[in-house]
Amino acid sequence: MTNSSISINQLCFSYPDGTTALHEVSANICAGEAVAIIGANGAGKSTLLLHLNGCLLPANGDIKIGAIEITKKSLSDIRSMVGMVFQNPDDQLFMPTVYEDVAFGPLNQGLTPEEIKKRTEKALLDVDALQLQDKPPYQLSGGEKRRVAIATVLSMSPEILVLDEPTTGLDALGRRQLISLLKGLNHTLILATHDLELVLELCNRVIVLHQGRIAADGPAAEIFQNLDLLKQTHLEQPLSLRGCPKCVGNGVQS
Amino acid sequence: MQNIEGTLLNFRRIDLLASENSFIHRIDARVKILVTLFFIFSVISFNNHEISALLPFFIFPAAVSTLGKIPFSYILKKLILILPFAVMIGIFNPLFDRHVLVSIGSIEITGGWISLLSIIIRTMLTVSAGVILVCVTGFNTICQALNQMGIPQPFTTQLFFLYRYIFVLAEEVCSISNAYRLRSVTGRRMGISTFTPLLGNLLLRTWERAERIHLSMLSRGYNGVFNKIPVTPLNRTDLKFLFGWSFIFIVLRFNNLSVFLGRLITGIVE
Repeated sequence: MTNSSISINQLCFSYPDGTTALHEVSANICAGEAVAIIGANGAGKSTLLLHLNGCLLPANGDIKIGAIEITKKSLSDIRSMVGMVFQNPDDQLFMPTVYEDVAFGPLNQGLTPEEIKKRTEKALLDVDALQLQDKPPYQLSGGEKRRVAIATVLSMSPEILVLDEPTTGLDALGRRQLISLLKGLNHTLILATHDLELVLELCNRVIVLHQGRIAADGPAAEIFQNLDLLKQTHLEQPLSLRGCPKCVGNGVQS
Repeated sequence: MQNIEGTLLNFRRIDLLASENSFIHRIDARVKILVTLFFIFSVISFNNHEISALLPFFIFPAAVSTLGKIPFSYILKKLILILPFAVMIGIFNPLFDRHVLVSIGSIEITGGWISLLSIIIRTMLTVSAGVILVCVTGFNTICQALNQMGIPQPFTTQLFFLYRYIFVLAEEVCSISNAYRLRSVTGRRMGISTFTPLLGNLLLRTWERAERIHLSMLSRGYNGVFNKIPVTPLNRTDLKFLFGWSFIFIVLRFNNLSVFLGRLITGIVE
């Protein structure tokens, strides 16, 4: 098993108020795969993501990143391997300037000042945000914030990138830039999203969560053709896969 | 929500002013904090009725703001905001202290009026020094410097986050307030019965955000030590600035320069 593969085995989790968020979730994700986790609100997507870098620990079952099981003891190793980009970039960007924010992770990894500088500049360059390095986060646009939030994780050189709702609040240009950026990365990519068009562009595999359980796991093209499944899990087929509304209305199938 | 947005712009201006590159900006933040504290202690250590000896102290805010390229109008606006509070503190002094201290012709000035004026002058001096310190140093650098000076990290980190998230918090206040206004048909101001649950709502939102930020920090390897800057030695310019101003404050504290100048000028005229 390579370092960037993920093995989720019978994962269960309930919140302190008794809500069961995940129930016997199992999946294996191979190195280099791009996997989308989709589902209606409250299906357990974000809870599952929070388990992948140990922000939440399993109540039952286990998760392995490569050969390392996520436990309290292995958290520092796991967090170097799994980079987590949160839904709201304002939660991710807490330092006074973009540069300091991107350098925060490498600084905590105990790297040398030269290595910190090198990694920070490379991460900013990768997301095309080097020119923003001296700006405070509140001066950035939504798209810039999102790119910088990804840079804060890339600077730690993770092997797995986990993104929660990466396109929320982005305009068309910002969304397009983000898709190009993510397409150019070679990481194992896991994203939870409601943006099914994004899934079609980026992911070859889809895991559908419904009420804390895996309702389906398979190739994106297959899942999105299964209209019964989509209906049961409160999802809709991506617009680009639906036929032309005029032709369908006239009885002509696309 | 013009007021909150205006306040936000004001905070952003502090960052812009702090990013200038002047002689004062380059002085070590620890030195600027120490000098400002020494200035404030010197000013507040005078007795209640002192006015003339306080006036020469205006040289410090004047010099530092000029060298640091901080517009006087900006400092004046901040002073205007604070002065009503200073007046409130001393407003009853003229009623309680009716002992006549100075007579100019037929006008008798009581100790109460003089102490009120003294409070106003001291407020102007100390507040302007504080505002200038933040403008020529930057809030985050001040937090780091306090940390270097031995203030425990939990305190400096709180200050640091307070400043970082004041913008986000204000935006949330704006959203809550707008949501209220859009549904308040009468257009009346928010009553206490509406205000209290909204405040609770804001606290819960803040709490949730704090949890998410903490998770995000943990995800990036945070281990309890935050933004730690190693303690570096002060250079010669820093030391000159520190001792130079300290010397001036000591001289001004124990010698009434206004009286001295007055006598000198009167002597020359005579």
